[in-house]
Amino acid sequence: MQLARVIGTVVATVKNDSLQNRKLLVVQSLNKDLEPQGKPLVAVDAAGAGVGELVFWCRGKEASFPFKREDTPTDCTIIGIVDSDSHVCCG
Amino acid sequence: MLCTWYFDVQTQGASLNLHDKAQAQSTGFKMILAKVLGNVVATQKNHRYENARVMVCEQITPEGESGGNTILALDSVDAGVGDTVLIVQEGWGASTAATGKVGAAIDSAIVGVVDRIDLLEGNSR
Repeated sequence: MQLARVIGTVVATVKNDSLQNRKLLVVQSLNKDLEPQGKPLVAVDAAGAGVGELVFWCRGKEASFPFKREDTPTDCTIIGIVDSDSHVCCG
Repeated sequence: MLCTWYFDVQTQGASLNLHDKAQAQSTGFKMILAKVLGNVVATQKNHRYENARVMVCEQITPEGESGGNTILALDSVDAGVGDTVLIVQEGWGASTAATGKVGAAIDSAIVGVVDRIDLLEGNSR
């Protein structure tokens, strides 16, 4: 799991049936100082996140568990929204 | 004891370089050492995360050097800020450890607080 900032959305009309009505968001992973860490990636939203919000995502097979259809083809899912930047408490 | 076992496994793999690995993304790791830096407060989250603490951790090398890679992990052992911990990055084990049930969308869980790390001297590993 990693902290990330939602930096955009992806629009895909033709997609797998189980991805219908799912929001695809571009997320940039962040380090503890909320600076970019690694490359941006696309995540399926399971928490109701929007552009600009601080979120955390889960990767791998477990990423499909929040959805009713566990065959949902995703390996990166947003599973939580951090209340605000100051709610990342370090040290 | 658990961490000693981990390093035994690591040292037997000739191609493994822990320094390089710590610099890399966490992707592909199954069990790592990390230092707890703090926690994250999230009100709106997947219901399987309720009553769990999401900790901000930084991956470290066995020598204790920071790898610069920040990750999040669910706490299952009451780890505190500053603790060196063992994190499992395999979903089945992580979700079971953190929530007591399988099938949660969790890919990292703190499963132990490291007391001590014993390493071979020099660069023989």
